[in-house]
Amino acid sequence: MAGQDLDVLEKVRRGDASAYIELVHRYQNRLRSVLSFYCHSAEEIEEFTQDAFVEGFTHIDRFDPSRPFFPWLRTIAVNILRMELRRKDREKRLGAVYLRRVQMARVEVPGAEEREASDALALDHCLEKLSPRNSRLIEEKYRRGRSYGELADMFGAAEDALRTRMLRIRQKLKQCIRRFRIERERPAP
Amino acid sequence: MTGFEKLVDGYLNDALTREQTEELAAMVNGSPELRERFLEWARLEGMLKSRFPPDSARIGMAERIGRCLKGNHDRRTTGDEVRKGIERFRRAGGGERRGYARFGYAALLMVGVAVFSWWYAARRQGGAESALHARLRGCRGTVDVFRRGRTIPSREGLRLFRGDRIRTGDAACAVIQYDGEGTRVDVSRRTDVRFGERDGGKRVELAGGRVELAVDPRNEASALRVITPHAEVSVVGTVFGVAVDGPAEGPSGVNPPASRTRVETYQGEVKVTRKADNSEVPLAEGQLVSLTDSGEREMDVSGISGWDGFQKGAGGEVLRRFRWAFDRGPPRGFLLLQGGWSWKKTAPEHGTRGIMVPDGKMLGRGKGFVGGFPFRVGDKPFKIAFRGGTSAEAGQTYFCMVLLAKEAPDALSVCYRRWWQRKRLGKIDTEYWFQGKRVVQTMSGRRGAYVQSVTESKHPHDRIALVLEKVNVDEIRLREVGEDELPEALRSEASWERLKDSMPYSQGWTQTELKRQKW
Repeated sequence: MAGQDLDVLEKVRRGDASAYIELVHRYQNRLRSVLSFYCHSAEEIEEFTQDAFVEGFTHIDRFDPSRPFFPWLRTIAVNILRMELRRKDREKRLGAVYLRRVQMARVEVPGAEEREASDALALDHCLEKLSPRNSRLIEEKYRRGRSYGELADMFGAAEDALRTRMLRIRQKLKQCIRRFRIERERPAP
Repeated sequence: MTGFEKLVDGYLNDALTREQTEELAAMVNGSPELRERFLEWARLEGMLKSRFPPDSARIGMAERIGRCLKGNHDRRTTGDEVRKGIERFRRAGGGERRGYARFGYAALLMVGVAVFSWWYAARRQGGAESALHARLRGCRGTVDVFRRGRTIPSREGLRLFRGDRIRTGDAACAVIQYDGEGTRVDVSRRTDVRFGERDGGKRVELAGGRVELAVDPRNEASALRVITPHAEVSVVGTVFGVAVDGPAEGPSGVNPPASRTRVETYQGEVKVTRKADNSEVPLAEGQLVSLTDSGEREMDVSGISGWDGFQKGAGGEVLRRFRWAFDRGPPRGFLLLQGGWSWKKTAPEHGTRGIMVPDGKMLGRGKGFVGGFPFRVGDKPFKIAFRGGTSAEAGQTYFCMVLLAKEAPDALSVCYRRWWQRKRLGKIDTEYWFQGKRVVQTMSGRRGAYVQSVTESKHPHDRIALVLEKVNVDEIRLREVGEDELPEALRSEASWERLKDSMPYSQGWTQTELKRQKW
């Protein structure tokens, strides 16, 4: 991957801006995953991801080709979050701003990078353990962006029942992720 | 589900009211345990959303970034753009389409053609959607964002796109902040404004309402143009306000204004171009200008002075405006606050005596009210007279301070207009700054009581909105004057009283008669 990145980056440096789109396709999901550690809103995640890619492009000359690309991109994204956090620090009197700030403040916690990677792995692992019906519900809710009303029609259940079910699925996922984390952090015998 | 979890669930799904959000914030703030639980839920929600990004988001991301990148390089020919666009779509989902053979390619081609048609048409109109380096940084009340014919939910941090239109409701406001610089646009209530870019500069189209702009002077890229129905305001590095008034809503008030654009500069300088004849007015710090539909120039403020140390704080604006005086002839040395309707009808217990000024005097006579008292600016003595009224039936209060020059037509009025929606008089509060205090007039009932109270305000933006309303001369130059420059007739109390009585409003003229007079 590093070699492919270098080829693309070399093209970008030579002035082929469209080559950079390759990197966007390659890393956007991973970067979203990082940012999701600090924001729950899909729009915010999208915006910060976009900002990070654009910043990366505009400062591509500062990238050290002897190092991997993604950590550099992540640093940019984290710096964008830090700037946002500083801005929210000034506005924390508002409840919604305060709550977002609490989420973003994790960017300053040491070891956050490891947690991001570990939790992303854990989520993949835990999603596989869901029943097909629950998997489908999650898929329809998040990937297709369906409302509870639409899901109720699709699954033939009441909206409230689906909300409760979704909450239970999330609880299961949460517990599973926690167990996964503990397992990984446990020293090998 | 516990109450806390319900709140968190609502928050993560953008389904909380403001009060509920505040409640959740208080819970999270007050308990480390709840804070940890909140973070866990939020983290999981974020992970799920990033794990399952909508297909449209994946493709959209590449598109958006592709557009951003174009700005950094020379544009290719149209054909290249199309090929690139199709290539982008192919890359976004090409692998999945291989199995669909001809049908898939045909569909892809049609999509490509449709996308190109839309893009090309939009580009020809100069309105192709593209992200602006600006975000919605604060909003309060009902703030609607319209994007390509759709309403999208307004929220803190929302990135604006070219052509986005923001409309604020009653008691609402919004702040637009441009990325990486100090330029910001404060959108006031009941305002309709569209954001865009043209020729590399920022563009703000104000259809109605009021915006205040602080434009970062640090770089050329911050150049900004404000377009209104009557004028274009171009600026680099200043702080100013632009307002567009609608047409007059009723018969009440003195000289109800036509639809117009007002520009007021707080810092720096702006250039105002009147659309009617392309004439330009440079507007320096502290000056303002008003332009109408008809192209009639209501005022020329090129000579207005006395704005040094302008303060938004209590009373500063009113008192500083007292410093003005006329250079065209001996000034009267007083201001007149002029009202729009008869107090006789609305405050019968005060008869024709009118308003109580803050020093407790009840002065004046005739319809409306007239009040006055002497004051000094530095060593220079002045007198102030007030005349005011409330035309409650039409739902507006109207105050003007009129600076009188030697001749009656050389009048410059400074007005404060406040509109109400209600057609009938219930309870009306009118607030304005006066002598360092915030004055609140309360009037209730058609034949109800008229009460004036004086109160302090902590809100920095609660200041009397003074507007230069009408000038019947081409140019007015102002300067301070001392009492020794006043005509003899105006130096004594008796002459002052005589002058008041000679004012047309004191003659019991009707609205219509008054409007016919050239002030």
